[in-house]
Amino acid sequence: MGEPVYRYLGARTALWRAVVGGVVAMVVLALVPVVASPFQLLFATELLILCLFALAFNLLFGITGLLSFGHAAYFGVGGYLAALALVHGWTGLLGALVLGMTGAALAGLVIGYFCVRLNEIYFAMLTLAFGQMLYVIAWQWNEVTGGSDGLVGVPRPPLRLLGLTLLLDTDLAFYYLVATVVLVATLLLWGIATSPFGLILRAIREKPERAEFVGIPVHRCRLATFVVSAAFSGLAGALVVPFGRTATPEMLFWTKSVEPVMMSLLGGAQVFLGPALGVLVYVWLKEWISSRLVDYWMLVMGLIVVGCVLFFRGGISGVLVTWWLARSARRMSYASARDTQVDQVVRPDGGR
Amino acid sequence: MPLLEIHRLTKSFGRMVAVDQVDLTIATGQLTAVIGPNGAGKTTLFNVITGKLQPTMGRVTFRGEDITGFSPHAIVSRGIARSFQVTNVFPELTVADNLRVAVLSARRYADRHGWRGGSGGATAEVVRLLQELGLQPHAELPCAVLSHAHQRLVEIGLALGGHSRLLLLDEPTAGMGLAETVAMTHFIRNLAQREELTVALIEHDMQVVFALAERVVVMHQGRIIADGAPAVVRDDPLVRAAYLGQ
Amino acid sequence: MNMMPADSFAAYVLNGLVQAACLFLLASGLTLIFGVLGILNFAHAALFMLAAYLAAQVSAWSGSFWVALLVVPPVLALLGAGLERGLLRRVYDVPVAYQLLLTLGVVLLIKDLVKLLWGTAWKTLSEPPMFSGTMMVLGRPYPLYNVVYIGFVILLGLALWAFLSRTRLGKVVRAAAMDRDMANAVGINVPLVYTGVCALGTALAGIMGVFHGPMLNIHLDVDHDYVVEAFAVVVIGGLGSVPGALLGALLVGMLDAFGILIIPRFQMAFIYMVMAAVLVFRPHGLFGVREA
Repeated sequence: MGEPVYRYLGARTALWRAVVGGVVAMVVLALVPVVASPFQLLFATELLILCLFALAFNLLFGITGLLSFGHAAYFGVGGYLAALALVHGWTGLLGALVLGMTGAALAGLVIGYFCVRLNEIYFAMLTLAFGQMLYVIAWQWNEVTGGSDGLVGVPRPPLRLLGLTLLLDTDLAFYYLVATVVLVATLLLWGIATSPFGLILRAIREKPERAEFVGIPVHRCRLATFVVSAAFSGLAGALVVPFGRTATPEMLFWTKSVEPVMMSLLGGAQVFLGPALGVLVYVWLKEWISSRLVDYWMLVMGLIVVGCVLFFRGGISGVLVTWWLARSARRMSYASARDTQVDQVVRPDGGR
Repeated sequence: MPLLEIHRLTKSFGRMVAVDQVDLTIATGQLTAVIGPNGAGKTTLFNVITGKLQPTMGRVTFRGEDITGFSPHAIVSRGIARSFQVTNVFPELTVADNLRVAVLSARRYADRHGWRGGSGGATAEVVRLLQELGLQPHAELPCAVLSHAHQRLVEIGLALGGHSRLLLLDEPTAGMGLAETVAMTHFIRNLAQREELTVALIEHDMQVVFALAERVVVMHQGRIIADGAPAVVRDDPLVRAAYLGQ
Repeated sequence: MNMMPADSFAAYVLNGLVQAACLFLLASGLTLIFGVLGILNFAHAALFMLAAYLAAQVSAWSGSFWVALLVVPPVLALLGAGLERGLLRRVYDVPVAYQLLLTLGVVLLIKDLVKLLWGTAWKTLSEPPMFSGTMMVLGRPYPLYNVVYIGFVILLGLALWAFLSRTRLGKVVRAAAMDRDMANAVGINVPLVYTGVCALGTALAGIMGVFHGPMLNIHLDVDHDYVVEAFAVVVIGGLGSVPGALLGALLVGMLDAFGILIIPRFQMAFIYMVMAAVLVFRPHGLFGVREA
C-alpha cells in the first residue's frame, strides 16, 4: 500500500476552520465601533446586511450554479413581513426576523418549485418574472404595503431574549445585533457549503445531467438550496427594515436583484467569502468614486464588471486563489503523477 | 427471478424507430455484451433503460419492479448504474470528490439517514474505491487534467460508487490504446466476478467482447438479431451480414 | 406614453397596438440577436435609451425629426457591430451567467456615457409636424402620430419578415442561427453574419429610440421599465423568433391596454404573469427556435 494520498479534510477540519474564523470575525466585528466614526458605523451595519444577502444569493449561484435575477423578491418579502410585524406590533424584533425569514423561505419554496426545473437562461428569466410580480404587488397593494411610499416609521423595539432586554435605539446596539445575526447566519451557510450536501451541489452545478445518473435528485436538491437561499435573503431584508426604519417597493425591483449578482462576480463566486469581499469592494468603490469623480461610479463599475467577465471570471478571490495555488504548485509536482503508466495503475490488488 | 427484464421496448423519434420491440432478460451475475453496427440502437437502449429517454412503448422491470419511465435518479437509486460513452465526469472536482459524490448519493438512499449517515463512512468507501481503481496518486487532482484513460476509470468509478446491482457500461474502452484496453478488460472481469454485480456492456472492440462476455446480444436497426454464447454468435450468418452490410 | 384616456373601444385597441408596436421594435432586435448569437442582451433597452437621447440631440441640431431617423439607426448599427466585435465575440463559449453579466456591465457603461454627454436633465423629442395633432377614429379624436407609429412598425415588420424569409442574406442569417458550425462548414462567413445581425438588432433599437422618443420624457432611467418587458415579449414569442416577437408584442400590448379593465390594480403584473406562465408550461414560447 502506498502512502495515503487522499486525506479527506472533512467535517472536523471544516468545523475547526469555522471556529477559528468565527472567533477572528467576532473580534474584528467587535472592534469596529471602537475605530469607526458614527457614520462609518452605520455604513458597516449596512455593509454586513448586504454581505448576508450576497452570501445567501451565492449559495444558489456560485455553489449550485443557478443564476437568479429575482432575488430581491425574497429580500423584500422578508423586509416587508418584518416591517408589518413591527408596525402592527405582532411580534418583537426577534419574532419579526423569524417571520421575515419564514415568509421568504415560503416564497422561495413556491417560486423555486417552478424555477428549478429550468436551466440557465430560462431559470434566470423566470426568477426575474416572479421578482417583478412581487414588486408590482408591493407597489400596488396600498392597504397592506403602503403602496409606492412603502412602510415608514418602522419601530425598533427592544430585543427581549431569555429574560434580558436590550435597547436597540442606538446605532451601536443595532450594529452589534446585526453583526451577531450575520455572523451566525454566515457560519450556518458555511456549514452547508462545506457539508457533503455542498459537494453534491457543486456536482449539480458542473453537470446536472451526470448528477442525475449518479442518483442525485437534482430538482429536489436545487429546490432545497433555493429555499435556504431565499430564507437568508429574507433575513437580510428583515434586518435592513428596522435599520432604516422603512420598507419600500424598490427593495424588490430587478435593479436590486442585480446587486448581489455583481458583488458575487466582483468578489468571486467560487470562494465562499468571495461575495462578501465583493460587497466590501463594491460599496467602498462606490463611495470613493462618488466623492472624487462626481457620480460616475457606474462607468467604473461597468468597466470592472466587463473586465471581470472577460479576464477575471473568478473575481478578486479567484485571482488570489490562483496566485496562491501557483505558488504551492511549484513545490508539488503534477508531472510526476501524470507520468505513471496506466497498466501499472489497474491491477486487481490495487497496489502501485 | 431475472435481474432485468425488458419487454417489447420501443423507442421512436418521429418515424425513425431506434429501438424496435426489444425483449431482453438479464440474469444476476451474467456478463452480457451488446454489440452491433453503428446506429443499431445500443446506446438508445441503455438510455431508455436508465431513464434518460422515455420509451414509446414497452416495459422495463428491475428486480421485479416496473421502472418504466422513471426518472434517472429514481432508477439509479434502485440499483442500476451506468457509465457513458463520452466521458462524463465532473471535470473541476478532484478524483476523490467525484467518487465521493457517487458514494454519498448511494449512502443517502441506502440508509435514508439524510446526511447524518456520517461522512466518515463515506471517506472509507472513497479510499477503497481509489485503491480498487488504482487512482490514489491522482486523488487530489481535478479530473480535467487526467489522461483519457484515467478519466474513463473515474467514469466507471462513478458508476461503482453507488453499490449498484446492475452496471451498464457504454463502450468502456472507447478511445483507449492497446495496453489500456487490456488493463480495462482485466478490471471489468474482476469486477464482474464480484458477487451481486451484474455487468452489461456495449462494445465495439471484439477482443474485449470475446475476452469478457458469457453472452452476446447483437442489435441491428433497433432489433436483436442474435443472442447467445460468443462463439455461436460469431458464426451466425445474420450477424455477419449485419456487419458487412447487405 | 402618449395614450389618450381610453373612452372608447377603438381607443383601447389603438393603445394596445401602440404598446405592441413599441414592444415589437424592442423585442425584435433582442430576439434576433439571441437567435443568432445566443446571447440575451441586457443592454438592449439601454441602447434604445441612448438612441432616444441621440435622436433628441440630432433633432435639436437639425430641427428635423427625419434627420434623426436617418442618422440614429446607422450610428446604433455601428455601435452594435462594435459591441459584437469588441465584447460579445469573446464570450460565446462562456457560461450563460457570465454573458448576462457582461451585458449588464455594458448597461452601466451606457448609462454613465449618456450622463456624461447629456447630464441628468430630461430631454424631449417632438414628432414631425406633419404627424402631430389628432385624427378622427370612429368619431373620437386620437393622436395622429400614434397611428403613424403603428403603420410604420407594421411596414417595418413586413420588411423584416421579407428580408429573413425571402432574401438570400436573410436565409444566411437563419442558417447561422440554426447551426453555427454547419453554417461555417458550408462556407458562410459566420463571424461576419454575427456582426451584421448584432448591427441590425441594434439598429432596430435605434429606430425605436427615434420613433418612440416623442412618446415619452427621455431621462436616464427610461430603460428600466422596458428591460423586463422586452424580455417578457421575447420569452413569450420564443427566444430567437421574430414572428414570435410580433405575436408576443401584440399579446402583451393588448393585455397592457385592456388589463385595466380586467384587474385594475395589478394590471402591471399581467405581463410578468404571462411570462411566468409561458416559462413554466412552454419554455420555448410560441415559436421557440433556439434552445438556451
